[in-house]
Amino acid sequence: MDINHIKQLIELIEDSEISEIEIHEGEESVRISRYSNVVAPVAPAPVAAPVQEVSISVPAKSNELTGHIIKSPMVGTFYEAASPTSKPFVKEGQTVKEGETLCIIEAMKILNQITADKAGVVTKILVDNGAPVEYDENLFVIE
Amino acid sequence: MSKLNHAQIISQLSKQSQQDLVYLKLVDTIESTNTDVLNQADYPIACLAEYQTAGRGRLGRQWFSPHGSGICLSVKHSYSKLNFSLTGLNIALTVTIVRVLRAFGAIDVAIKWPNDILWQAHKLAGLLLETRYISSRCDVVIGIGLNVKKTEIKSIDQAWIDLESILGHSISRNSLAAALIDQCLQTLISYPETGLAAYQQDWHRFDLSYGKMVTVKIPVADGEYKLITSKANGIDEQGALKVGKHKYVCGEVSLRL
Repeated sequence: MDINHIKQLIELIEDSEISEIEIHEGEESVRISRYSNVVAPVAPAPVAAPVQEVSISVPAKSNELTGHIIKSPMVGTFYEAASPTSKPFVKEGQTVKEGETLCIIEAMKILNQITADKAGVVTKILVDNGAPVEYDENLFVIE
Repeated sequence: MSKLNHAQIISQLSKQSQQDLVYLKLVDTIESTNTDVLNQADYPIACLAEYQTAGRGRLGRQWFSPHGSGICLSVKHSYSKLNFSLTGLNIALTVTIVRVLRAFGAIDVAIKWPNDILWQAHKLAGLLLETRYISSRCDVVIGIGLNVKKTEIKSIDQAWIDLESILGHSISRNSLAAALIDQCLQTLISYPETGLAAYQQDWHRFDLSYGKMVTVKIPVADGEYKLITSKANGIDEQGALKVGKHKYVCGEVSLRL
């Protein structure tokens, strides 16, 4: 995959609503992610693992969710609790106040507490503890 | 073992910090000083504890320090708008803390990007920058875990050192805590104006990886990562690590020490 091809992909993703694209060609592959504005990544990282088939994956956005959705403001790792020994910030069915911390997303070596921008009951937690999350990925449903 | 003393710490702050700081909370035992200051409305504030029951680091790691043996400190400030890179602020605070440690005589203390504070490949201090977005403000907390006294712990999974062993004599934890609060507070307050420029020269003096071959481990997908080995060329004006022709704002760096 030459540099012009990668440049075209970056332009393509910049003009689209896609938050991430991963392309494999033979033993080569490239993954390009769109990050939040607060802290932008400087270098896209190519994937090392050899993959046989050519595939393009775009994270599917669920349209079936109702209620107020809390989305991830950044790419990072999702944590449900402040530390491995702490209780999760919230559980499904729990009532939260506006401004209450729902989770931590670790990004760029920094831990970011994500707070509820609306009071209500957390009806769904859509991400597992320790899982990577994408920019704009749905995290919680508050009703 | 002398205890931390609120009055002594406050009296050793600069006049400017005595004016700026809303309060210093000093407690014996706390879950986490970072969590505590993040839950308060006031700013700028600081919290200092003799012992944390749930001290934490990045990647869900724990920070452990026996009672009264170190400094467990968090300093919080709040910004109405974030017109700077948090990665840069993280770097600036790390440089600030190394300046304090060197002023106390620990001249060989150095940094592994972005905020590991090491002495001859032994971990001396752990830093954790945390943010909390609430209404239209962004709270930023720098958490510092620093080993001061020599202790016997066998359950730590990496090589570590304490400040007194480096210096070869005992030091006042009150003086050290005051200097850390003072300097971190002033860096947090002035950073939107100064940016990283005021710290870049010292960064390059303290940076262990500068001009050396390093390996950067970059997460790419679920549990997968890529290793890139090249020469480290310091940091850019945002605090990103320059390795070969690329710049990185995340990933684990390893180098031979």
